[in-house]
Amino acid sequence: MRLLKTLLSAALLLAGAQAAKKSSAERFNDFHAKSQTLSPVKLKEPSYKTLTTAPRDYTVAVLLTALETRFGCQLCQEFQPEYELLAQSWAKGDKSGESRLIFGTLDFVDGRDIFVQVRNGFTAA
Amino acid sequence: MALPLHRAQCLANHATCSLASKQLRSYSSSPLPRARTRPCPRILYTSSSTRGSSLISLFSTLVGGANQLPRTPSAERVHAWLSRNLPDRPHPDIKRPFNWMRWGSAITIVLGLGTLLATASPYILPIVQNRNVWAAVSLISILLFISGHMFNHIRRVPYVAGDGRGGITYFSGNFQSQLGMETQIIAAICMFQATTQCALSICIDTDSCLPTDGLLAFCAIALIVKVPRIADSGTQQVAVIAWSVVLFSMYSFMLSIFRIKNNGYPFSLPPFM
Repeated sequence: MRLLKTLLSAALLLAGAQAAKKSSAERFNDFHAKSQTLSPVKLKEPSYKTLTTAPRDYTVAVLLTALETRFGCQLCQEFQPEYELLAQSWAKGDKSGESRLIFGTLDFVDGRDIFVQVRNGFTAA
Repeated sequence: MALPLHRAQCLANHATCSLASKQLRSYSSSPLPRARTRPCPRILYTSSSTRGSSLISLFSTLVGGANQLPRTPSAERVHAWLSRNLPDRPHPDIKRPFNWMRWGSAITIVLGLGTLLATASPYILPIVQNRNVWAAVSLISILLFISGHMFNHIRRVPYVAGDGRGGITYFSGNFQSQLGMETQIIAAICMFQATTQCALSICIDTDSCLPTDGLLAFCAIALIVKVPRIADSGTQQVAVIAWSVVLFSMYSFMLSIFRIKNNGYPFSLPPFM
């Protein structure tokens, strides 16, 4: 399982590098394929940026979370199984990608800068 | 595609989130790697748009917020929230995995209880259906609650108190307080009176006292049970008069206790004046 996750994130990284040039539909297809095997898609900084690049013709729901125990975020851990259930049910119920919605998770350790960015974005704008 | 959420709502959500994360931070013992950024679970939700990554909405999974989500939203709540915000597309339903453990244990417990009831019913039913047991239970509870037992529980009153001269105070002299022993004395008097009345009523009119059969059985004072069965009418009359006197004096005693509680009460009965 661990190996699978490592492989997946490596693949995501590579895909992310390439996807920067890809069109919106291609990106959606990539991530939709991923979400069929593992949903919510575990995002890292590059893949997050790829996924949220404009223009896009799909919707993304990203859960910003901090699962490691050192952050002491009990709510993150309580909510995680619920979110996974939602994302998996959605992925199973929408194999063709009709809803144009992708579920992702971004952990604090994987995207610290994005946390800052999001925070500033919402307080400033 | 425009989503019906306002910027103000986003800001409100964010405010609650950062507030909660402040609390979160003060609770957590280990310091965070960077002071400026506080992790906090939230769903960041970007919609299809032509402009640069426009964050349409964000809501805190922590307390409240403009969306009025519970402290830990369930998958169903988030599903409803997403469906509300993404109206023109399919919304696959949430399928919770079948909880084998829960159903299995529930069925086992139900079957086990059923078996237990079926096998033990010959022994349990006579006890459950026993009139005297019900009479005892109801009489005890009536006496307990009449005598102010719950007051003792709620206020945690002392059982007895000294009178300041080495003696014991059995009754506290006002309505605002009472002692543990007080309630027991009252319960005993009530029981005594009930017993006596029961005995008398059986003496006087046997038919009218049939429902108190169980009460009588609970009283189980040999003398009282025997009074109505005294064959000799002269002896029975003496017994009735004697018990009437006892009843009267018990009532008098009770009235005197009431006069301890309420000093201004003007009436009293002999012999306890």
